[in-house]
Amino acid sequence: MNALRKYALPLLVVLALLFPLVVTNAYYQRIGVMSCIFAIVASSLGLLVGQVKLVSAGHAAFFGIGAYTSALLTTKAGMPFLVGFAVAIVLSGLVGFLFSVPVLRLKGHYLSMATLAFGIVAQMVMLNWEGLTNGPNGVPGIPFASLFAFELNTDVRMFYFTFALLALLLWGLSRLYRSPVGLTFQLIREDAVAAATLGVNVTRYKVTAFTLSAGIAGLGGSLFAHYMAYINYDTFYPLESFMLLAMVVVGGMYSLFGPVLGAVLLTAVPELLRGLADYRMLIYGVVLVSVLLLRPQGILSGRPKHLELRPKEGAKR
Amino acid sequence: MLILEQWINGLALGGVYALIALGFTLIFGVLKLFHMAHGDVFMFTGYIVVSIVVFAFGGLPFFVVLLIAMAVASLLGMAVERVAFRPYRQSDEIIPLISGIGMSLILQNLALLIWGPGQINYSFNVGIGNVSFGGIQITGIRLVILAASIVIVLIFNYWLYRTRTGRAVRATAADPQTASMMGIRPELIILLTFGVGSALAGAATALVGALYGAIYPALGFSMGLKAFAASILGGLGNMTGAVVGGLLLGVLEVFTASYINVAYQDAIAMGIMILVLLIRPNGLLGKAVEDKL
Amino acid sequence: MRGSKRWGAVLAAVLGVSLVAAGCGGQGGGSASGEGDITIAVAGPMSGDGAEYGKAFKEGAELAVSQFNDKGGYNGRKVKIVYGDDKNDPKEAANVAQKLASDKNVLAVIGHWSSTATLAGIPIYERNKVPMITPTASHPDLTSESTKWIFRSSTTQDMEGKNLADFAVNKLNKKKIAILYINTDWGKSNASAFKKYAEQNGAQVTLYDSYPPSQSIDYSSALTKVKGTNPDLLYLGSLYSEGLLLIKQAKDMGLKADFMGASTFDSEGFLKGGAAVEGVYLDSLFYPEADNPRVKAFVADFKAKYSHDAGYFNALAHDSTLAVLEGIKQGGATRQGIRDAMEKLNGFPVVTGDIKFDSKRDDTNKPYYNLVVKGGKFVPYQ
Repeated sequence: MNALRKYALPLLVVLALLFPLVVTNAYYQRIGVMSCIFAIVASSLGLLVGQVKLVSAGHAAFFGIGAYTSALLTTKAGMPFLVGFAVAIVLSGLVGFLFSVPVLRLKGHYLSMATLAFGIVAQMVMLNWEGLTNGPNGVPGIPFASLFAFELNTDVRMFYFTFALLALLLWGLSRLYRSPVGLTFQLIREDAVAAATLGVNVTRYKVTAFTLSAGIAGLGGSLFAHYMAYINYDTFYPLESFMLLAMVVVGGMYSLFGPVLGAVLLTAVPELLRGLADYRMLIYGVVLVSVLLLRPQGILSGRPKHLELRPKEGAKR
Repeated sequence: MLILEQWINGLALGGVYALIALGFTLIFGVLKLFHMAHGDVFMFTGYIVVSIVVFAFGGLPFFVVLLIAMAVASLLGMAVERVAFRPYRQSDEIIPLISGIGMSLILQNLALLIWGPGQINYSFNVGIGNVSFGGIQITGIRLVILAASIVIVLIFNYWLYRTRTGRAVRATAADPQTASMMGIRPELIILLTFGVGSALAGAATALVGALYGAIYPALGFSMGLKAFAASILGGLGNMTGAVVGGLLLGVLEVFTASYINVAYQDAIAMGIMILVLLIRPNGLLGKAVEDKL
Repeated sequence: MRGSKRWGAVLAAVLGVSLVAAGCGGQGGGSASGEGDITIAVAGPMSGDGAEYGKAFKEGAELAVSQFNDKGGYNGRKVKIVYGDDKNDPKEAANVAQKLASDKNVLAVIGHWSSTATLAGIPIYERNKVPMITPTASHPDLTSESTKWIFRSSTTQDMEGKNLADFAVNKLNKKKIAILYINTDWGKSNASAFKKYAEQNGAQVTLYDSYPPSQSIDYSSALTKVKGTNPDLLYLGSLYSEGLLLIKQAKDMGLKADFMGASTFDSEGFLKGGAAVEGVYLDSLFYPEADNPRVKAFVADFKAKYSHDAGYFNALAHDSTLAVLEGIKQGGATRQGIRDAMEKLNGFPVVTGDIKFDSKRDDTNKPYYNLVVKGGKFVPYQ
């Protein structure tokens, strides 16, 4: 068990790197790419839900803002992918920031409902602002992602690109979660009043987390748009936000890898269930209800038994 | 004169929202639980009732239809509680949220499998035509809905505030531990809460059926969203708030549609909800709970 | 982090297993040109909100294929259908498209239902060189000269709008028309085409509003607004389900106007509206009692196989399938062969007309029937 534990992560990386070489069927590669993209988006939500306990029920909105920004900049304004990609991150982060400043005064379910409402408003803007978004027609003909002259025009290339970004993100998040900022997040999660008593500017930390999370979701959106080649407001509806939440919770919201596992499962399972035709979504529902019975903390629990208030790496607050 | 029609349309629609929101907010009040499948209980009841009332028996009087719908919804609601929520009593509040979403998917897809895709159209025998006076014409059923929602809300209020069981429910909502020490069995109260809360949604099912005569699997999700919004507007767990929120939402939607554009109906309703929350973070009638950051 | 690592191992194992499974599944392709069965695919919403349309596709395609097989198939080889469920969601549609395209046995795809889902699939079919024919998606920008593998066997919105506007203004003599439409790509292009031609024909459009496709059940507000403009016709760019609700509620409110919808109203479900839908005008590419031996045969065979009446979407899916089967017959059992043969079809007889594709691979050759609901049935307007 010990050896397995030690080698789990490298093994996983090696397996993932081999994946598109072993599996040459483009359909399975596509599931791989989609899993990576949704793992990125779910991780962004995991940062919010698991670390700071801000339950956003409208995260599809930031995902969508990123997708639209990148899609419109590359199709309508003819910008290269990297510009669209960067602007997508910044813009969705900015929207997240502007939204969170007033709204983070709300607590618990009120906050969740406000984010849900924001998601609906955002979707309605995508639908009705025809001059900008093409309204119900969506944006067709989005070019492939490319790194300067190198076009990511195959599923294999796209898989490595999204996987690399995911790995980078997870590395960054793992650093963040163990940094003083991350520990403060967890302190706020466990007891916001205590955090405030210790002099933590709780609102500022929450706004930081929200902005970061929205920006990462926008990153995922940009990847999604360029991979799909066509986007439409339809993808960013409230149910999608709930599905993202489900990924986080089923995988394990407190763990770094939980949202990733949740995203992979909830992306791959419906595809693997295709054979069941009409019963597919029914079984999906049953899975959601029952997975939590087996592991109420999500598959990867990872919540510390007690919160360590002494940062390990000598960091000071 | 159109404006009077608009008001009645809005209030009737709001009455339906209020009934669904009332059950939702009651459940929230007792369990601090966001019942994501509440709208789907509403929808599924619709299918069952239509099967019983229209296809098995033909024209039953509307009052009987209403009672059947309430009974069906009540049983269904309690079953949902058993399956999707009871196991997670001690869990973090987000867990039953996800479990509720799963339940919502299950109900929607069961409806799809049993009754087939597409919209089922039917009519309940309400026996009321249109009312016209002074050059305006109002669908009689809208008046019935408005009246029925008011009566149901009053009965519900009486039950909650004037009877022993109602008091037990409120006691459990306020402080489950103390309540159980007073000899109230919390699990029983929770079941009862789901029964009553869902019965209110069942009443809405019958009224919606009488007015629109149509049911489809996705109806639950959209109605559920409206009910969440209404109860948030009014203040979660606040009964009067749910009614006020529901009526307000109904009127708001109708007036947005008529004076601005139907296309923006949902966006404006949701936008106003966010604004209201920013001004009053606990809803219009919600009491400020102690500020826990 | 400790617990998380242990589960990381499990995660690795799970992924590894599914990877191997996927790999096996992926390699099981087999040769495309061998003997054995020929596979074609039907893609559409088989579950979810649009499932009734997916079912209609399924029935129409199945009938065409079983008749083809009964007549001996292609050189003795049978054709079989695989189904792809896109839930009418663009994301799923792209997954389905990739799944079908990656399966070398799938030689052609009949689908998808909505323009949205079709648009999501097109880049994948085009890239993988899979002939795709949509029976229904009618968005004008869907096909182009440059997408060589994309066919459409229904007409475009522009043509339908022209026909309906002519019907409304010139035949029914309606001069004040209110328009309500569902805010989807379909509804938008449908209503804007109708509006353009109605105004060209000299009608006044009193109101032009959309409603969001959010599955609402109450349309009283929009209708009160319509009532305020006093139209003599309300045109609904709607699917039959909301169309029915709109008409019922409008009549309850005492709106004194006639109603007209598009071919989407041509559905058994619409007639369930009973008295409310009496006198509603619509058009369709399919009229089951048309005096045409092909239509009669199709209607009879369909009824015999499924014991319910054939509808508009059944007919369209059936015809698209016939086009693909004809492509196999003339061009051979390869993707390229089917595409090339389909492109050359010239007046190939099907139920809804004679198929001939133009330079954008649109079949613009089909006649419309102008219909009205009378006595619980669709009858031709005289």
